Amino acid sequence: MITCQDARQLFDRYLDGELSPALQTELHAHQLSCPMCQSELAMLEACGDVVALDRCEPSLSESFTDRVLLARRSQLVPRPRRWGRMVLLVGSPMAAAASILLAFMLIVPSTPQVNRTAVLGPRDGGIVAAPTSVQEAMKLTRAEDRSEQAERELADTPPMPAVGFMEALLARVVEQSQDGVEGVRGSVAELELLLRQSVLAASEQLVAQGESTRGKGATNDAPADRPIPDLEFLGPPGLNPEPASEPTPHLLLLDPL
Amino acid sequence: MYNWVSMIARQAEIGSGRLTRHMEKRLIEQARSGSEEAARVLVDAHKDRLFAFVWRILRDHEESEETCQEAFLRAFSSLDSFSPKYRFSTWLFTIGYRLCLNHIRRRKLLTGEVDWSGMPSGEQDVSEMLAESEEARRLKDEIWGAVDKLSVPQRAAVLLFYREGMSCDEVAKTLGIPMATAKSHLHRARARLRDSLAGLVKDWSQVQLLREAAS
Repeated sequence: MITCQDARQLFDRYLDGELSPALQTELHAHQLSCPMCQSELAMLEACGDVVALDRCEPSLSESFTDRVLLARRSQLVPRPRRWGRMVLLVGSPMAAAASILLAFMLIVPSTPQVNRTAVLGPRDGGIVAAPTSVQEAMKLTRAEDRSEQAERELADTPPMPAVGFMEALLARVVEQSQDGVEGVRGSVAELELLLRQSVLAASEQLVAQGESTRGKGATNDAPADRPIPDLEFLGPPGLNPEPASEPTPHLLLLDPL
Repeated sequence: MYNWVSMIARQAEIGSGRLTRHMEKRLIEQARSGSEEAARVLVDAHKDRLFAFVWRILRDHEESEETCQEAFLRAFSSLDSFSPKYRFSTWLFTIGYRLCLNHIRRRKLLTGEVDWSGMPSGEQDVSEMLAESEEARRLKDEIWGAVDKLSVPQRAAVLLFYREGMSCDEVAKTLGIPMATAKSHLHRARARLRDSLAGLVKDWSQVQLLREAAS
């Protein structure tokens, strides 16, 4: 016969369904003679029964399934087809390469049409690496094979424009800029001339005024000494033909006296 | 054209509400290929059990619904990686349990901070298999109160073991823990329940909580 302590140690294995038939018999035999262990095991079994069968949780809202399916529908994104991926994977690099090639063709200056057979000469016979640029072709032409035919063809080639697409574009901009600079220079020279003339005219006028006051006899009136005409040199004489007999209010405000 | 998905749905309604493994496998295949009807059957077959499990852990109706919805969506979105050797319910409960843990971490809800005022009252509809006496209702509330005082892993282990009828191995797989740890959670949960309920009744062997037990 097992003790209460032994029986309690078997409870968990019994409730887990892992107790051997022999030990189950021992446990039941102990329960018959021990009301405390019997009550304790009954309590644990009652807990299990209540947890398993007592459905007292609140219920889900009726629209739950529809909400889940609606959310799932919004999550479903149509997968791109394989050929679409292939186009993306292969097409993009090809398009990039084509763009680079096109740009290169536009930027590189147009090359003279050189007859490769003439350049390389018929005696080369075998496969010769193609010239990578016009300069290399020219070098080959000069150094290796200066046949008459090649020289004639080169001579017949129209003069290569000195600039490519970008250079032609930039040349236009530079030309326009130069025109602009020239125009600004001309304007500055005119302005300088006008300023010189105005200063000269003002100083002459001042000298003439001083002579006239000396002739009339100098007075100590302050308003007469006020150098109002001095302010007029700010503008060229041609622009302000009115005599400065009466100072305008804004000139008075500027008067330091 | 005969719609076998509807047939399965009817069988699930007539039966215990649980799908057989074969039905479940076919439904998952259909749902994987985009069948909304199959997805609906899967949701209807599992939503109540999942919600009860999640609600017992979170104890908040709105949060539990959101968690269940998220669990279903995650399950459907990763159906391609679902292994047919597991039950869909096991997988779904695993997702639900992890979402619960995330939720609890977010709101920093500890077991001791559970609001006991939200305990279900005896006025709620209960299974017809339960005894209807006031004393039985009180004891059931006491038992649920003791269950709610368990730690989250212990509570989850108890719910999966008793309510979902999972073995210790399935509980361990569902919770993502070793089987020894799952057993430890279960045994400690029983010890705590025993301590909580010890003084309530003098002799539990005389208590008839369930009609089936009385017969």
